[in-house]
Amino acid sequence: MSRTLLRVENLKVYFPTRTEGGIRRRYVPLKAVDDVSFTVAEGETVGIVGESGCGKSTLARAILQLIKATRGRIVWQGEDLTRLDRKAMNEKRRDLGVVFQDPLSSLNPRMTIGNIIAEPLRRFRSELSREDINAAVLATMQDVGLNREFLNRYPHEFSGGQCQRVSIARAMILRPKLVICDEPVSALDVSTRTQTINLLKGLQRKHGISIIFISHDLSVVRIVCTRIIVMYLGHFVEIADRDTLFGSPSHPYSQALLSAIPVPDLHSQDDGKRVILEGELPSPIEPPSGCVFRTRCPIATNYCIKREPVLAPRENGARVACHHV
Amino acid sequence: MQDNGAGGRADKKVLNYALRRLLVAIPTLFVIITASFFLMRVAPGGPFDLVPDLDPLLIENLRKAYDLDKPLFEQYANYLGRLAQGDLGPSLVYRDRNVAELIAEGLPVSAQLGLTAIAVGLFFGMLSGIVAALRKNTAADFTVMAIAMTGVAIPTFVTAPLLTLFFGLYLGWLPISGWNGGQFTHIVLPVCALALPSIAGIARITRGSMLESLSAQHVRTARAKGLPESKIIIRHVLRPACMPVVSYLGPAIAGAMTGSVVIETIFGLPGIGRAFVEGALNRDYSLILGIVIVYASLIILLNLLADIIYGYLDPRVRPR
Ligand code: SF4
Repeated sequence: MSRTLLRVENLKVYFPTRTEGGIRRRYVPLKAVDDVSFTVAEGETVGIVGESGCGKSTLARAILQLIKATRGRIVWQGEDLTRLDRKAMNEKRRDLGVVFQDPLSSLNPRMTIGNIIAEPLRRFRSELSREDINAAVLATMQDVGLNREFLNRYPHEFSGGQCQRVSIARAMILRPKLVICDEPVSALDVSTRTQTINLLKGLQRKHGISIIFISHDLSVVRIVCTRIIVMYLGHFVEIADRDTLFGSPSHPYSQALLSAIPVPDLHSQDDGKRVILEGELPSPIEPPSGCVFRTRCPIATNYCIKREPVLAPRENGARVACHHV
Repeated sequence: MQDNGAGGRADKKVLNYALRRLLVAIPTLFVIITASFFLMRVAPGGPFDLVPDLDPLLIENLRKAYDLDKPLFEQYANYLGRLAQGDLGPSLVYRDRNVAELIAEGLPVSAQLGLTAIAVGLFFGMLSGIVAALRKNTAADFTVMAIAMTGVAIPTFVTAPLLTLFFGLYLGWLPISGWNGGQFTHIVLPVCALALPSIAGIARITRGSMLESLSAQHVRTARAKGLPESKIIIRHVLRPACMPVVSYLGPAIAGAMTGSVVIETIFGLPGIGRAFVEGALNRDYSLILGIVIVYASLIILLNLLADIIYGYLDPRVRPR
């Protein structure tokens, strides 16, 4: 059993919002992330999926301490990140890489590709000489499949896929223990998407890093991740191994998400059991009582309105938050 | 091509770009000169109207002496011909002087005043704009912005007399007028009066662009990478935040160098701004044209300079 790298415990991220209208304005919390717990082991790749607005990006930012957690602990190698001051936290960032969604705007348009990739090195390895930095940058560029002649060029000269490779190189150059990828491929076109995912997967294997891979696209997560968390309205509704989830999804929401994926294989039979989600995502300001999914759940009962289900282990090893499966 | 090749190539490109822009500027200047020349002549009155009881015969002679009796088009051709040799012609009102001398006398005064004011404005404007942006929605921010609003709203012909009254007459610290060879005490008040609106303007521009670049995605990424906030500001925020200031400065410097009529009149300074207005009132055709040419060339040059600096600040707008 490999060691636990990151343990998130009962994390809550609430944003204060003001109610519209009315004589007395009240501040009510927007519960972007509501009481979630999970772990990431060394070398593991965890996927977090859910519709946009389910709180997955907020979760990523909270782990990175870019947003303050309202409650809960984020234990990184035995140390609670939420208690660190800014300086101590900044030191931790050496082992925490990050790749954001938007390829071009995540890069400073005024810095050359070489300088962008070298920046983390200059920050954390100031003892390195110019030549060492240059060599490391070139090696990393080769690692992510960037031509070494791009060194002195600027981000706007490149395509989205290449920019994302630069972002990945920047995240990887310090050989971090964990890289958080927040929708790293959703801005890319389909062919580039596959290349980028394979690149991430290859790097993960080669360097043995852990990855938290956040996406709204199950088919992408399926390629990279060994364990998948399904998130809905700030809650985790199912945590399962990839094969378990894709073989037999338990939670009604997971089933709905899975049936929405187009079947890539002509010979696999689509047995027509499509679960189509009705209605819209409820507001996280006033989430439904009981089970958060009940407004769209095809098998919801009265009991679901009254009681909130908790994540509980099932026979197939998955943990599911539902009263009826 | 390797590392150094790219830098050298870029410099050459910039030089080519500058030369091309200057070539394009020649027809622009030509149009400006032509338009000003004929517009001036359309205006009623003439350079010798303001001298009372001048003998008509004398006026006739004067007109002859300055070629004003010739057909307008011939005069225009003559002017261009002399201009091509660098001669701005004689002043029609200050009859013992030529235009080049008058400009050489007034321009340094105005330029010294204007450049000092811009430098002061740049320093305090950017400083307070940056502070306001970094302390957004705090007392410091509101104070800076309130002062900036006032600074933009109150014209110099109000602030200048107020400054004179307070520091010059009430406190008696500073002389209220005169140039005195550009002595420090003499330029403090006019520089302050001139700098106030540019401090205000630059502070507002800086604050706005700082806030914009602070919210950029790559700044968030830089935070996630663990860069200390001071480094983030210097490396990722300040440079883009400077760009609107640079484009504001181009025309602002040209304007400041060619003098402020109001300030030069209130403080009795021998600058080019006052000469320009007096020239216009007296129909001193050649003096007006001369100053117009200086002003237009300055604008063209400074805008070119601003664009080149722009290219250094942002590779996306670099000339190809
Ligand atoms: S608890 Fe009820 S509403 Fe929620 S998913 Fe299960 S069946 Fe549906």
